[in-house]
Amino acid sequence: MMQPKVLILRTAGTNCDAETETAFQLAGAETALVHIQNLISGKVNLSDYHILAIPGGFSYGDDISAGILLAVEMKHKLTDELNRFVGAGKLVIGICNGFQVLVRTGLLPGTDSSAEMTQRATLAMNTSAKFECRWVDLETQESPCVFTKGIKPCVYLPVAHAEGRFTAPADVLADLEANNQVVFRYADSGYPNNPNGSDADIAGICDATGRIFGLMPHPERFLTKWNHPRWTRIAEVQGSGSEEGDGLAIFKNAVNYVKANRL
Amino acid sequence: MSSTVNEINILNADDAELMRISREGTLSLNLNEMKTIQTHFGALGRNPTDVEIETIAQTWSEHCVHKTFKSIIRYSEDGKAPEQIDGLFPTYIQRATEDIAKPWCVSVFSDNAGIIEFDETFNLVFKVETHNHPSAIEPYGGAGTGIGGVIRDSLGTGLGAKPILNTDVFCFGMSDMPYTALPKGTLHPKRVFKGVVAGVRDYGNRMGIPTANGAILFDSRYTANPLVFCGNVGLIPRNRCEKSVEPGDLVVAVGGQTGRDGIHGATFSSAELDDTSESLGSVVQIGNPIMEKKIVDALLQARDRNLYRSITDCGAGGFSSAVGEMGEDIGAEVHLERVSLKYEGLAPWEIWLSEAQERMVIAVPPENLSELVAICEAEFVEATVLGTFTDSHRLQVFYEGAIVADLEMEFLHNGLPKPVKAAVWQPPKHPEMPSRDEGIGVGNPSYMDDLRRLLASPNIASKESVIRQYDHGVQGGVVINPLVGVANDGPSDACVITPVLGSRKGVVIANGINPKYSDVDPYLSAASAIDEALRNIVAVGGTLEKTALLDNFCWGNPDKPDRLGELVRAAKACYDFATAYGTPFISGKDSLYNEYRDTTTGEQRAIPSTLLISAICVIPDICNAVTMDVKAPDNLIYVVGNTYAELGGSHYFGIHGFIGNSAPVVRPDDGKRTMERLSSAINSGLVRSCHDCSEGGIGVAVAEMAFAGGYGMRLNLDNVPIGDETDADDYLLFSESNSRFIVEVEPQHREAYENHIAGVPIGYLGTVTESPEFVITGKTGHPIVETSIDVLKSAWQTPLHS
Amino acid sequence: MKNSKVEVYYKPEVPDTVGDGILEDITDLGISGVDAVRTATVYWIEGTLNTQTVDRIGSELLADPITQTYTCANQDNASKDWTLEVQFKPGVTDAVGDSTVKGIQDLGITGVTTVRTGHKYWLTGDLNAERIETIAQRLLMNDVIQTFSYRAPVS
Repeated sequence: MMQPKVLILRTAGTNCDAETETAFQLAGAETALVHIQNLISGKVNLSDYHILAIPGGFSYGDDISAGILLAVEMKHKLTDELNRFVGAGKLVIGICNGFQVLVRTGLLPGTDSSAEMTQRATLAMNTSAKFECRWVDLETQESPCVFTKGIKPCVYLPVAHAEGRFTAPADVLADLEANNQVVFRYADSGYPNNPNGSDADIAGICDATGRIFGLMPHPERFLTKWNHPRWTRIAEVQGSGSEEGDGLAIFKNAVNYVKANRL
Repeated sequence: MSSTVNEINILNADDAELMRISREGTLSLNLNEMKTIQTHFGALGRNPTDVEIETIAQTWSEHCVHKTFKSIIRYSEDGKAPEQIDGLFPTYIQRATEDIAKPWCVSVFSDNAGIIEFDETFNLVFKVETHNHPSAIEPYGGAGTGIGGVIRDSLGTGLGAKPILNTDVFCFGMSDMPYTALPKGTLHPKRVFKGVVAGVRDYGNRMGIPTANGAILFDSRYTANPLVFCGNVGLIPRNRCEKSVEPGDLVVAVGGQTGRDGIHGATFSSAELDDTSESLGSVVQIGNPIMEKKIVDALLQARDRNLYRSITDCGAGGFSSAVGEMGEDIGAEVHLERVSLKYEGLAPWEIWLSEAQERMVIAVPPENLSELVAICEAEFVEATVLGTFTDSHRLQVFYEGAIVADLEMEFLHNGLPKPVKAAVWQPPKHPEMPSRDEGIGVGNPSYMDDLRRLLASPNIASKESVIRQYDHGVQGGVVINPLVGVANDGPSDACVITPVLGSRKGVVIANGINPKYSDVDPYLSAASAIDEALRNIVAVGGTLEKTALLDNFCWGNPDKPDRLGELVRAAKACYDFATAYGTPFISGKDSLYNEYRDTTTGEQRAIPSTLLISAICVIPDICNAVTMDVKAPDNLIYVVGNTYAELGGSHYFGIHGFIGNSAPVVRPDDGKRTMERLSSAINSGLVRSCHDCSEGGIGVAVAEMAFAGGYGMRLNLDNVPIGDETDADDYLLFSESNSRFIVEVEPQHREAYENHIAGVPIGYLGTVTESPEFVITGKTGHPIVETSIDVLKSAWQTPLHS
Repeated sequence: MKNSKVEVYYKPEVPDTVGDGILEDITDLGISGVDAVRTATVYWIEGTLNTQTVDRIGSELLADPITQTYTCANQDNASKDWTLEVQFKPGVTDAVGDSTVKGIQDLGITGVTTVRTGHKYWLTGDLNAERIETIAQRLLMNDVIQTFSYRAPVS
């Protein structure tokens, strides 16, 4: 059985790469941490991989706005490689800063028409105007997203960001709803469970194919039950035979999809 | 400023001229030191250059050599005959560690951070330091570069540790201080608070290091001299803990460019602040966390490929200190024109001394240079060869071919005359506050209002609004968060992380700090800080056996005998209680001269003598950790450890405007037994929750446990074990006696728990209740607190949310 | 066109949370009568660029297309509000400026080697020069690393 290969993209300021790598390894993938410079120079070929993961962090300090500099770099320096990768039906996941990057490149929410990548939504400053580090309840939506197939209807994950308010013009939001592209919603629309004031409580979206997925919460921070902030008090967490955290299922789904579809 | 070198004419200078040179050059050298330099150069028959005298001033600064802690002190206590102490550091700190002799201490006091064992593959490094003066002047940049600097200490320990956790403790003036009362030239405490928090947040979060432990204290005496303690824990392979330098190794600078930032930071920290200090613009350092992240990314790869033999950070004193220290035993030559500059026009001494941030120096065998450069280029980090380590035993600095400094390493590092300082200690006498029990009872007000006021007092109130701005989950290893409980908002005693994902071996980090007790006796303040840090470790499941300590002293001007007397008291306590508990010091730091002088009124203010004790503990299995929130109705609540009438410096006295005279004593035999048995009970699974009993005493501890768990409590004080004749309800409720805990035990474990902890005084207080009512009955039989947990929680949460 | 100045600010319908925070801080300072604060990030781009190129930098890099807008303001436009500008002193590290240079290069635009950044504030309400200076010095800048300038409203 071939082992799915995951490219975890790094650059200056990436900082959730190690735990994202651990998550994919636990899910059964072969992983490589690759600096974007090595993709641009051609030292590493994106096409040798099945999954592209853009982890959390502060790429280039999130200077100007979160993720914009990495997005510009990818859009202008890796245009063909990215189009070929996506066109080949491979998977892309962006977590937190990675989600911000995918939105700013235009890969999310994506268009069904042209190859031209245009930014159609954004992740703006939280309405609290602060960095927010907290756990939130998420509702899993009906969507084509391959990463969330069959996972629990309610998932508990941590967020940690200052720019996570998903917002888009009304027509884009309507498209998202019509195409079932909303993957996760914050389960309670009030602050703090919707920690950033996102439109329609959107926490994560996919493209129309379900193969490109971005989310603000961090599934890679809930790989074992001891990551749960209340593992000392919740009987179900404490007593369950499984030591697996809710977040791992997302990575396993990706790996299984690659295996099942022989990408 | 010109890019030339000046000769400093000291050979013919008289005393007044020597002091003028020291003062005007911000050298912070005293007359004795200036004369030692004069004699040294007299024998050489020449004057020093500016580069040389600046190098000596940096190397001999309080910041770099901690001369107060090494000086000979003639100490006199309460009018008694003086005692001579040959160095506080060797006598009380280092000796404690030597006497305790824990085999798991890998490296203590010799490297940039202490190192202890973790598992078969890794060791841990831990360092805490302060960045007080810079944070007073530019809070955001000062605090950010404070955390940046301590992260580089971890990276500069052994051959480089991966930073895995930050801890931050701040002391500020009161946020509600009127602007009109603000001392001249100082920033408002609110601005300092906001700026410091933002600085630590932005640096730590961008570096991707969880900030999961800390404290914030308030006292008006910190207004002009806020304290910013920044700490970092690192993970390092066991076979990368030693460094060496060989002649012929290249001196390589890695990281950011050099500018005029932060010049004189080391000597500046040896001076008092006054209302003109903010004009010392060049001392401000500007941080760039992404640059530092890139350096970590590059150097850890180079470390794993064994490309360099030694590493240190450019901190205080810049290249002069870094190269001077690395080459101490052999010699070094450096060519300053090779340094990568932010802009032109720097004089050689400025390049040599600049404290521009995010720079490391490594010793690279020439054959490894090309591989090292390739790694750095791939991460977009500059690596510049500045010179070579030699066998000359001299520090030789060149600029454009000309030698601008030529110093003997021996004189530079061992020429500093050991000062002799006087210290006195006179116990203060404060008015005493009697118990208020007589006014309490049927038809009278209860202690409800006192409890509410204590919970709302800034030192005790929730710090959630700050904590949530720090990323405490990055790296994926945090298993006990700083906020715990049913709504994730109760105050955890300590944090626990698993630094190696997939392993259940954990690290506990906690701290203890009690500056208010210093108003009574700094000896008790220091003893209590140690006890508190250890209690916090034990409360989450750690053990004394595997705990190491760090000391950080922040004091007033040690040239004043009374301030130094307080320092002697605290240092003595460090020895006494570290050895009594068997918990060694592995690293420490001091920041002295935290005083403010108003140049118009001549008024002089010192901070409260403040000792921060940070504690680190390795636990074998994080599954056994507990949190402080109560878990279920009908569980039993116990107090563990004796209560005494020890309210001197307590928060209860504080809210009534008293200091008192009997600050909490540490009784280490009792304390050690209590902590060891409790650790054993916790690790046997007999305890559902545990909370350290500290600020605000039993009253605050049980309230916090109840509202964090979302359940009420019905308690009475009848069974509180007492160590003296105390029976006043308010004293029992709010005394801050050390070595006490509150624990929650399931009814079916009652017997096992009580057997387990036999020999330790415990008292059954009552039970957890399903209903939110929170009732404490006093010894008189009257309810002295009768309220709901919602009221208490709101009192605790409101102040810092607004 | 030599040396361009680009101001990036939120669209009128988007809340300016930074500005709102500053407004609270001003009230905390004991200064009443300020009704609103709006903010902008200012980029001074050094290099010879044509208007079209500056426009590309503004729209593709500096301003978020959904929530922000920008103007290329080489001369100071008259405003009916008090305007306050804060910038770094020469020699002070400007990390955002350095990153912006990288972003401009990635867009394929050559000839820019230096970008300096700063902040601009529009304050409405009952203000005078003294109050503006107090607000600037107590809240918006630090003398050690920054300088500021301000303009009174033009009626």
